[in-house]
Order: sequence, then C-alpha cells, then structure tokens
Amino acid sequence: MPHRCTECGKEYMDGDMAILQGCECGNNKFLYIPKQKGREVEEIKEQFERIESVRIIAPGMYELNIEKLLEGGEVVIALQEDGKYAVHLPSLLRKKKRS
Amino acid sequence: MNMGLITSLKARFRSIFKWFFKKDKMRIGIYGPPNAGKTTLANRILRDWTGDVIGSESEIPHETRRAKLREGVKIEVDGKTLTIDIIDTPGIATKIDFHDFLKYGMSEEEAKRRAKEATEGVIEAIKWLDDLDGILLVMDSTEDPYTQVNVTIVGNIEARGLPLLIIANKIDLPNASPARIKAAFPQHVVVPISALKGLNIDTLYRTMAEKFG
Repeated sequence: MPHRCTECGKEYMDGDMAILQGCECGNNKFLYIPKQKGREVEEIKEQFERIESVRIIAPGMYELNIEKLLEGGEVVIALQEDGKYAVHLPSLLRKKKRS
Repeated sequence: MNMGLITSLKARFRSIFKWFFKKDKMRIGIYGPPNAGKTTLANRILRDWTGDVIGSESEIPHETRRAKLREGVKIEVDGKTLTIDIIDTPGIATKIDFHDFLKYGMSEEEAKRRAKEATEGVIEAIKWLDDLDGILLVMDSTEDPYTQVNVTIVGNIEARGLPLLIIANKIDLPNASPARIKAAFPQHVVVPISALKGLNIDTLYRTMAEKFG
C-alpha cells in the first residue's frame, strides 16, 4: 500500500521497483503511509454493530449473524451490499412464545 | 423465632412449590453445526425407545432444513423414567453457499433452493431455543471444536441458563478426538458417543436422566 508519490499522488506497494526508479511522473520522492491500525478494529466493530441478522450476498449465498439471531428479536435481512434492508415484521411483533 | 425452624419451613415450601410446578416432560433440542450427526442421534434415540425415526440422515450438509418435533419419548434408566419431547434442528452455520451443494450433483436451481431453506432453517432452529428445557449440543469429534458456531451457541445457552450436554459424536472414526472437545469446553459435561454405531449410548441416556430428569 504505502508509498505515495509526493508529486502526482500515485501510490505504490511495498517493494515496487518504481520506488527505486522513480515515479511515472518523473518524481523520485515518496511519502510512506503507515498501515492504518484502526482499520482492522473498525472492521471488527462494524461486524458487531451490524444490524442485520442475515445478509444475502447473492441468490443462494447467505451470511448469518448467529450472535444477532441468538439475541432474539427481529430478523433483519440485508440485501447484498447496497444498503437495502428488509425487516421481518412477524418476528419483530412476536410477543408470545410458541406453546 | 428459631432460625432452624424458619430454614426447614422454607425448604418445605420450596419442595412443595417445586412439586406443583415440576414439568411432567422436558423439551430437549438437538443442536449443532451441519453434518455433526444431529439427525443420526435423534434417530438413534427414537429407534431405541419408540422404534421410530425422525428424519433422513445424509452426508450432504443441511439435509434437515425444518425443525422436527417428536413428543413423549420415554427413556428408562435404572428404573427411572424420563419423558422428553425431542426437537431435531437444522444445522447452524454462519455462511451458506449453494456452490457447496453443487458437488453432490445437484442442479444450480436445486442447490440455491437448498441454501435458502437452510438459511430459514438456521433462523427456525434459533427461535426454538426460547421454548426448550434442555440442549444436546452435537459436535463432530473429528473436527476442531473451536468454531464461531460452537463457541457462540455454548455462550448463549449458558446465558439462558439452559441445562446443556455436549455430545462428542463420531467416536467410531479413527481420527476422532473427544478429548479436544472436553478441553475446549471444560465447564460442561461432554459425552463421547457414536450415534451411528450406538457406541457409549447407554452412558448418554444415563447422563441425560441425571441432567434433565
């Protein structure tokens, strides 16, 4: 990831020959961008804060959030990655236990 | 007033209370990841005590996609009778992908339908937890027990305060290691069995009678 040309802003991965030979733009100064430590934590946090209990990745491909389902309550379905959700109302409104 | 008298009165009330509210039968759910042998175990219990079966066993994951209930199964151990309702549940998984079913010769359409039903099955299995009095959690002794599914289910059952027995299944297979399951969940009773071959099944019934009776 982390070598950015100080001139044109193009980024090069670790060990890229361009870092030694110079950028396409002719510049040979690069700014090293340290790995964002926060990112992994954010990803894990996001996973825990996911509101959906089921994510439909594609037809026939599902990801289940077992923790969320076990917590009980409503079944929220996320449709792919585009921020669309479906809430299963019967599970939300279910008050009485199955007898 | 004499403290001893109060204590004995309290104990007596508690036993009367217990006697009134004691359930005449327990609802026991069979849980676990796909292909752990839940239906094989349910069938083993039913064959042994009723002569019946509950569902079809298969090497294809997610064969059971609806929870199945069998009421009033009487288990007799050392002269005592334990009457239970058995619920065989679909396997709990975090990812269900129809591609996994294609290798079993299913059409894409069929595999996709199976994946959808399996997903619904997981939700149904989890919903059943609200209505149970005890859990048999089946794990495959040949697999690593430290999975997200196993750890999450055990944690949740503990939080609910439900009696739990962990079944280390498939001990008939050469690479089975029930000790690994015991090491992973040392706070729980682990019963090593082979539901398929009926190995150590009497110990399971005895342990069930102790735990759920």
